[in-house]
Amino acid sequence: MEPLSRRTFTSLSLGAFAYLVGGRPTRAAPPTPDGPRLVCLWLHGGPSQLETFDPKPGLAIGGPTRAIDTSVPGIKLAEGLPQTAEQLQHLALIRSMVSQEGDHERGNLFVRSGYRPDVTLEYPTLGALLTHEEPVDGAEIPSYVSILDPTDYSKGGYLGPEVAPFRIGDPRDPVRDIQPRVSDARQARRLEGLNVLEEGFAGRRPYAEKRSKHRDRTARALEMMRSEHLAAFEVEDEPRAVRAAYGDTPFGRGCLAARRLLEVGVRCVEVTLTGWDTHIDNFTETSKLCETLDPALASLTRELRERDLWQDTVLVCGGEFGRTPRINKTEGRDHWPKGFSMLLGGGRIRGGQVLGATGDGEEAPVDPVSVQQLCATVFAGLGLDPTTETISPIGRPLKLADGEPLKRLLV
Amino acid sequence: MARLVVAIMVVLTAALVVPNEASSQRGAHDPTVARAAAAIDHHLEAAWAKAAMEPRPPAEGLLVARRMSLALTGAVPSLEEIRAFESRPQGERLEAHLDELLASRRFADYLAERLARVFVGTQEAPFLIFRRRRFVYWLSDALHQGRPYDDMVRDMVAGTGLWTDKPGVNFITAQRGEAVPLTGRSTRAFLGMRLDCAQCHDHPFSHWKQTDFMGLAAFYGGIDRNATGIIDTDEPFVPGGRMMMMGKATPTPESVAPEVPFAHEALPTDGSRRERLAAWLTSPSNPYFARAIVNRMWTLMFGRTLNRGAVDDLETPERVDGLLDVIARDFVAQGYDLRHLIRVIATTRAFRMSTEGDVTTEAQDLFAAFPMTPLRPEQIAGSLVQLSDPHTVDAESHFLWRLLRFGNTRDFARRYGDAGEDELQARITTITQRLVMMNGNIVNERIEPGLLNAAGRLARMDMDDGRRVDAAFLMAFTRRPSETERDHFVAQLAPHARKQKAAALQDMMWSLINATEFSWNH
Repeated sequence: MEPLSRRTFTSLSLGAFAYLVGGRPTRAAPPTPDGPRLVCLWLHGGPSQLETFDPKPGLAIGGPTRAIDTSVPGIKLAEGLPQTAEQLQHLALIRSMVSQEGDHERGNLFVRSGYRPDVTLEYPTLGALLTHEEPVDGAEIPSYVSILDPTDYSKGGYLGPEVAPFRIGDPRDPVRDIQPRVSDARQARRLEGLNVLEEGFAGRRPYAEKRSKHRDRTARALEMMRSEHLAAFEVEDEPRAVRAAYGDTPFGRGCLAARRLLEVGVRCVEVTLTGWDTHIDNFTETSKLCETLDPALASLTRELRERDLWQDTVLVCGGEFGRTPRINKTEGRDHWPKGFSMLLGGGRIRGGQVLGATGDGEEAPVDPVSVQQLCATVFAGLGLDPTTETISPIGRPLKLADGEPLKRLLV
Repeated sequence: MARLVVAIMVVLTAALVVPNEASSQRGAHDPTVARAAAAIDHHLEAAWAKAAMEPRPPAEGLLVARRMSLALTGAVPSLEEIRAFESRPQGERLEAHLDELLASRRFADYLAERLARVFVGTQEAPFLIFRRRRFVYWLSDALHQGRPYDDMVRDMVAGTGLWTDKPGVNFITAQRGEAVPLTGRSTRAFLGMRLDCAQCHDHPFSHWKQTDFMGLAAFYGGIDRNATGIIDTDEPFVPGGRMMMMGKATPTPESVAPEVPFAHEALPTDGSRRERLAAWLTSPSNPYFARAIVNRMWTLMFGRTLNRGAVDDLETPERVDGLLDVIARDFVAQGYDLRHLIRVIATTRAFRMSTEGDVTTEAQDLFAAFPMTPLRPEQIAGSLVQLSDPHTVDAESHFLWRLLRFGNTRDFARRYGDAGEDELQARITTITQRLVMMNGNIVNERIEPGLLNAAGRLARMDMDDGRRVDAAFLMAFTRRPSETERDHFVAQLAPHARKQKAAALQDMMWSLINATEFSWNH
């Protein structure tokens, strides 16, 4: 039961599943790597804005965190993000995000979809909406990939599982369920058997079988199993220096894989960094997390620019909410949806600026930005009209995002 | 004195047991079932005639048994059940299979899990898991005892007490006792209405206003909790006001009085606010209550709703005009007996119809053919576990099996894409699903040569290859192979001596499990 290489599998089992491919071309055209693309770096748990993008040194709420200069005069970041600071002229920072959801699940569903969770309808996430709006012709690998996400908050929602993300873990590990379990000869035998069964079933139920798309999806899954594009997941193929730049961490490798996937035409990649729920020991924990976040975020920004992907790709980095200005008794900070930060860049986003400001205490931020506005800005940044409507299954027309894009952030 | 107590206990116990006895004795040969099923047939036949549509012929008995098992236990029938089925006289097989399923604990557990998704959702927050589990056990017990549906709903809506002691109140605790989400849940779950949508858009078929919603929410406005659990207070309902478990107060000046949007005569004047609401919801003169659960049970059996919309949106048009009411009237007349309702649906001509031939979407819509629908993830997982064992895997089985099934089902549902609370609506197979089934661990574990799975068992059985192929088809497809199929797989197995036989059998099982026929209800 030795695992076989992708290339030998390609040559050997073509005949066995030719039937499955049926009318489809045996080799789909590779996806054209153009069109809008989205990369979301989700900082799961609710990152402290004060230790990342909105430091307040010298104030009681600021704690021991120091601030450093960035490539944009007058804008400072927390000391844990020196590499990101260098890239800031390409990034736009919102410091006045306001959400109504202070629970992890609800907060995540809100930020990831742009719609507050409600019991009547499950909303698709940004990546699902984008994949639905801008399908990739002839894609051999999924157009929406989620890396390292321990939750299932990202979903196709009312658009269905067709546009749900394909999930992978640490890109260093092989992608799950993508390798046949048996030798070429046995795989061929399995597919021959499957062919006999499918022919019989389809013969008896021609119409319903076709509608099920089962055979078509089997063929496409087999195509994916032998796709050259799977190599995009293999970050170990990158030069040592590049890997080192992103950081030798699962998240670093995730961001590197994201760049490789965007290069082959994947519409949306999400990479999740967990651990930001720092109710206890906030300062130690966030400084460790920043060591992981900073090189990955900065390298991704730099490489997307170097490789001419930046103008087509919108980057979003942030969490479901921020953390309390007040420091609790366990040196931690608690949930705070009333004024947190979100980083944007790429596409039509104009970098090198800050929108909104939090105060010296718990007061409401200046120029508050809603989650709906954030999501509308993401779509506008991708060159899409956020008011484009999709009809949900309950007959209710829904916009891509239910807010006004932030004109100031757009070119 | 002691003897008196014992005597009273005996009488009480007997009284408690009676409904169950009555219900289990009322098999599918019950004339009330036949009569109700005939009324549905009659209604559908008129619709087919009007649409000039030729209904499909009946499906094979075993195939109908498979549909029943999938709908009622979330797994294909075991070899053991198939043998029992075939050992009975022709005319009694389906009725006996149905009776056995409905009397089993598997049925109560499976339906409880399905309904719990509707009543309390699928939240997996740690503190909710235990409450949810308590709630599911309670629901399962109620279903197993054959408690009338309206009775269960009254316990959920109006219950007071501790979540451990009165598990029905977890309907309330699951929404943290908050009036607005409770109202959203209640109207959707118990009335098949999306009243909460009426707040933000004009519904094409309804005229509900925000005040209708808030009037209903006011019935849930006085909920609080203390050491004795969930209680009712006299506190008026203030929209946007205090949230029980959040402890945050954002008072607005206006309080709202409890009011129902229709069927005013069904609202009693006495009792607590929630008792009154429960009485109104479950009143026979509230037409939505029975329709909502009828639509759910029909969807459980057919994988397709009676209305052209979500299962809990009954204000969308019906696929077959008036059919919901035909079934709902009988359900009310039969005392809200869910097992009766399921028996009726399973006895209809539509349920026993073939999916074969040139079936159109229109025919499926009018139930002139059994609609082909994808199995839910837990049905696939349940079937994978079941087909590894010739005996029926159920709650009474070895503890190990239960663990295996629970763990596997959860992980698998996650990978496969959990259907959540939504019923699958004209869904199609996805690429990820195909990858999981072709290369995933759960399938591999079930077919790997081993002591406890299908390939291993088939290899060890002392039988010829033809019978092995037959057994494999029965386990996976609940039917015997066609001649072409048998020839193909016998030829595949034949050249292999005993040692490699297991691998050849494993490959055959893989082909079966990956076929459309396995993962679709048909």
